[in-house]
Parts: sequence; C-alpha cells; structure tokens
Amino acid sequence: MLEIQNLHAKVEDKEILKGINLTVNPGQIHAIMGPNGSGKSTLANIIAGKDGYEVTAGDILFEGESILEMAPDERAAVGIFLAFQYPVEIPGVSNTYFLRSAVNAIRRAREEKEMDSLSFMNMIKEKLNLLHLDNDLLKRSVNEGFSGGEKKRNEIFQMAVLEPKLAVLDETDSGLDIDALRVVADGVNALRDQDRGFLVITHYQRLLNYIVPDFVHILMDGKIVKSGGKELALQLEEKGYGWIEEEVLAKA
Amino acid sequence: MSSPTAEKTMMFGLEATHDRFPSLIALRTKALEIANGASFPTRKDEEWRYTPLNLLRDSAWTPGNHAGVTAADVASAALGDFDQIILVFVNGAFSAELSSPLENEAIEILPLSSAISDGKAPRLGELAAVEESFSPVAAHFGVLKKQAMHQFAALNTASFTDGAFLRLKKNQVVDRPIQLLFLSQGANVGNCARVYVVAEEGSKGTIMETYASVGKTTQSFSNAVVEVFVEPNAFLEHVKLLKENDRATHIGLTEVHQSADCTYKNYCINFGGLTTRNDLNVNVNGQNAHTRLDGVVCLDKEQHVDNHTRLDHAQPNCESYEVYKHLLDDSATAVFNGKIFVHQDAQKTDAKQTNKAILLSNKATMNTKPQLEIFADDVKCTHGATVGALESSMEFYLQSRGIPAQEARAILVYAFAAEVIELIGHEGIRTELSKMLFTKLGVKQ
Ligand SMILES: Nc1ncnc2c1ncn2[C@@H]1O[C@H](COP(=O)(O)OP(=O)(O)OP(=O)(O)O)[C@@H](O)[C@H]1O
Ligand SMILES: [Mg+2]
Repeated sequence: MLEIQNLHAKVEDKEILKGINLTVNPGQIHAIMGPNGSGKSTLANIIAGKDGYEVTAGDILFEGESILEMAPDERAAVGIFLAFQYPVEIPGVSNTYFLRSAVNAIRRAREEKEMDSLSFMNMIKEKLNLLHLDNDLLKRSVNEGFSGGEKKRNEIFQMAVLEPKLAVLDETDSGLDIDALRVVADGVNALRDQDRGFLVITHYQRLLNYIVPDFVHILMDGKIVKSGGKELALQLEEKGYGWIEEEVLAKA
Repeated sequence: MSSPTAEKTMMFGLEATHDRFPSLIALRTKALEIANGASFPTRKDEEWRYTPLNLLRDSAWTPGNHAGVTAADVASAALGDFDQIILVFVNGAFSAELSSPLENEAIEILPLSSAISDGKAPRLGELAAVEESFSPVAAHFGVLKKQAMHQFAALNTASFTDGAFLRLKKNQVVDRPIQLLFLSQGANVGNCARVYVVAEEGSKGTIMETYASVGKTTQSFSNAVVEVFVEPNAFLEHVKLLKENDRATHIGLTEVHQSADCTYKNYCINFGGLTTRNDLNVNVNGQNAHTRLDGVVCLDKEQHVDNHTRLDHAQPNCESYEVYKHLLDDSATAVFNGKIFVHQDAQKTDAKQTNKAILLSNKATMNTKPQLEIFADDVKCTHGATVGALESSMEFYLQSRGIPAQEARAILVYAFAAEVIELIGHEGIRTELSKMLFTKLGVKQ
C-alpha cells in the first residue's frame, strides 16, 4: 500500500534523506529505528505532506498513486495518518469541534454523508473508552495544557477516530509511563487488521513487545542501512548502533 | 478661530435641531462653538494619525428620514435570538413601533428626548450639571474635557436628536439585556446618538449598542457619545457591536465613570464599517473596582478601525484587564492605541493589557501603540503586543487530519478572535456573536 522509492529530500539545502526504499503491505507493521537526527521525523513529515521539504529524487506511492503532489488533507482523505512526535497546542479549538471537522471533512472528500452529531458523539465516547481518556478532554482545546503523555494518547485517540489505512507513529511511545504505553499499544492493536499498515518510529524495543512488528528497519544518516525481523530491535537494545555502523563501513 | 473647516463641522443642519431641547440651549451653543472652533482632524494630529477622515470631511450629510424601516429590517439588523429589550433608532430618531415595550420594574428605560423634555428622569440632573460644568474651571472632568479635545463629541452634544436613557435601579438584577439599535438608512445620512447609562448601587445588567445599515444605504456617518456611570457594587456588561456596511463611517466616544467596588466590562466588536474610530475612556474613581476592556476587530477589503482606549486608575487596589484581537485580511488596516494611566494615589493597581493581530494578507496593516504612564510606585502593570501571520504548524496539524487548508485557517482565526467573545457573560449575546463570527469567517458550525 505504501511504496517509498529512492526518496531523496532536502531541508533548507541540507540533504537529509539519501535514497530511502521501503514497502509496507496491507496488514503489516514496520518499525523504524535509528539514532537522533537520522531523518525519521523528516520521512514521517514528508509522508504526511508537511511544507518545507524538497523532494529532489524518488517518489512515494500510496495504493499505486504518487502522493507527493497531494495536499496534507487529501492524504488524510485517502487514509494516511501521522501521530506527531511533538503535537502542537491549538488554543481556542475544542477537541470535539476539531474531531468533528476532521471526520466530516474526510467524509466530504470521500463523497460520503456527514455524520450527525448524535452518532458522532457515540462513536467518540467509545473511542475515548478505548484509550482510557476522560470525557472532559473533549471540551478542552486541542492539546492545550496536556501533559506529554496525554498529548501522545490524544494522537492515538485521533487515529482511532479517523481509522486510517496507513498510520505513521512518530515516537508515540516517548514520554509514556508503562500503563500509558500499554493503552497506546492497545489502541494500535485494536485497529490492526489485514487491510491496514503501520509505520512505527521508535527508539525503544519496549514498545515492540506490545506492538509486534513484522519488520524492523534501521535508518542512519538518511538511508535504511539494515532491515530484519523483530529480533533486530532486541539486538539494537543490547548492542546499540555501533556494530551496525561498522557493518555499513565494512560493506562500503 | 473660524476656518474653512469650521463650516464642515456644521453637518446635519445643526441650526434646525438647536432648539429641540430648550433646556439644553446653553449647553448646545457652547458645544457648537467647540465643534466649530476645532480644526478638522487630519493625519498630522497624533491622535488621528492613522485614520483618514477625508470622506467624512468632503461629503455632505443629511439627517435622512425615518420612514420605511420594517420589523423585518430590525430583526435582521439586531443581534438576536434571545430574550431582550430592543430600542430602535432610525437615522437618530427613536421608533416606538419598532422597539420593545419600555416598561420595566428593574430598569428605567427612556428615549433620551422624553427623558430631557419630561424631566422624568431623576438622573437628568447630572446632564444639567454637565451643562453647568462647561465653565473652564470644571473642564477637568470626564466627558467635557474630552469634548474640548474631541470635536466629534462636541458635535454630538450640539446636534444629537435622540438617544437612550437607561437607569438600572438600585440592587436590581436585570437578566434581559437592553439592546440599543442604531440604524442608518438612505443616502449620505448622518446622525448623532447620545446615550446615558447609570448602573445604580448594587445593580447588575447588560447593555448593548449595535450600529447597522439598512437596505441600500450608500454612505452614512454615525457619531455617538455614550456616558456610563457605574455606582458602588454595581456590575455592568457593555457590548458595542459595529456591523455597518462597508461605506459607513462611525465615530464613537464612550466615557465611563467607575465608583468603588464595582465591575465594568466593555466588549467592542468591530465586524463592519468602512472607517471606524472608537474612543473608550474609563475613569476608575473608586477603590477595589474591576475593569475589563476587550475588543475584536475582524476586517477585510479596505476597512479601517481605530480603537483608542484610555484607562485612568485614580484610586488604589483596582485591577484592569484589556485584550484586543485583530484579524485583518485584504487591505484592511487597524489601529490600537491603549493608554493606561496609573495616578499617584493608585497604589496596588494591577493592570494588564494585550493586543494581538493576525494579518491574513500581506497588504493588511496593524498599527499598535500601547502607552503606560505610571505615577505610583507599588503597582503591577504589563502590556504586550504581537503582530503576525497564522502559525503554520497549527495549520498543518489540522490539515493532516483531513481539514482543507481554507477551513483550517478559518478555524484558527476563529479560535483566535473567539477568545474575546468567550469572555462575554451573557449567554445569548455570546452565542450570537460567535455565530456571526463563524459566518463572517466562513467556518462551518
Ligand atoms: N527545518 C529544518 N532546518 C534545518 N535542519 C533540519 C530541519 N528539519 C530537520 N532538520 C535536520 O534534519 C535532520 C533529521 O531530523 P529529524 O527530525 O528527521 O531526525 P529524527 O531522526 O526524527 O531524530 P529524533 O530521533 O531526534 O527525533 C537533523 O539533523 C535535523 O537537525
Ligand atoms: Mg524525530
């Protein structure tokens, strides 16, 4: 469903992604790990359509079509979702209003009927329970004054509401306590099915105990330097990145 | 000084209205002298620097007639839909048919004309006192001093045809807001409204002024003076809504006097007009008084709004908060000039002022000038101003959840401006103004 082909990208004249190839098929969970500054968030942002990146070569296909020319909202409408590493606070916009606008905008884009407020509220409450979130979160402004963990849970809550086909989670586990980690993982696993794909960016093997990936990729200096199964994450946990760097150098 | 500009201030055939209220002849003659004596403000005057009045100066204004406005016009011009008392003025004249019944236990409501001619209103003594105080000696106080500085206020005194007299009676709580609806109708109409509000000791209520255009009004000029007296322990909310068409000029002076232990909240909502100048002066003359001055300016095309506020803290232990927010699109321009004077005796004053602007186009302009003058040493006073574009990270966040760019921007600008509207205590007014803002910005509800 997602094919990243030889993706090169620059930010302000600095080359960050240097030829990424990655295919996520329906039903698969891919984990991406890699040192700070290696380009993980850059990749996630480019998939979601954030401004400020220049794709200098390569392409990203979603269900066979290039998405590079699509606006972020169009990408959301075809089923792409990004859980942000640093969700922004939006004072004055209530979560309910925000979510209803999002749900209905996506429905309009798909030429589906908008959701009436009763069914919307019922759906929302159900998802809140799933994420063990409090009702009064709905009235509060989006992310405003949320704790770090609440922000991350709110991202997964939004994912649960929007039910994307492809979800990219950028360090959703960072800053979560053990219980919250489990809740987030439950949220992801509840959505897991044979039609959906996940790209999970993380620094810690711990998350992958709960969300068991099919593949683990290691991103270093803008390239995927090694791919493997879930045991690769365990090796990393044990040995760090040094041995991979050596491996890469030896090959070169 | 008699200059060519002096004639220009004699709009509306002042002579004709001169003897409408015999008891006010001396006052009005004096005011006319002031109005005529002052030169027409130009952009060389610091206080008018950013506000062009060429159109006002170069046009001929007539009082217009009062016919032809229907209940349907009122319904669409007034802020509804909530339980309220509406007084309708068409081109400066009070319309009893279009207005709500005025009898009320808790509040005395009169068209100013009848309050003056019947001498019914006990408080009119004060208006008479205003008249007497036109001596140079007494000219230190309140509206008179400002009248000498502000020729439009003097023009208003000389030529107002009607207005409203509102007295919230002692210890009465008035749930229904009083809306004063000033309508302009017809070509080149100009009029002066005068409003006098007293919130007596321990009273509580909400008043609202709405300025609107009816039908195919071409150009119009409304020139209002509103005097407000808030007595000890009273609580008054005061909303001013400007929604005239984009050929209207509005100049308004609001002069507020606060006593001890009272609360006064003013919300200035600028949603219309071509050129608007609001002067809001609040004299805090008692201890432990609370003041809120908040404003929303939402403009596009060539619209211009100039808000001058002045807070005089004369007594200790008072607090004031002021938030003005501006949303400017196309070639719209806005001015915010916020003065806070903390006088020598006003120790322990806590005054906060913020003004923010979001420019939605690179042709929009914001001129902002906060001015704090502090003569007491034990006070907390802060001010801050920001002018900028929308936060792109917020826009991207909304877009990444499926909300198209235009709608995302509308939601964000709505949230920015709504923060002020959310402060309004009266639920009906708050809700209806939110809806207006939604519609204005093209946000889905
Ligand atoms: N707007 C920008 N301007 C300049 N450099 C940038 C910009 N955005 C990202 N970079 C740089 O690109 C590199 C990759 O950043 P990115 O955020 O993708 O890393 P990451 O792998 O997500 O790191 P982390 O694990 O710390 O989250 C970093 O060196 C970063 O400083
Ligand atoms: Mg990152």
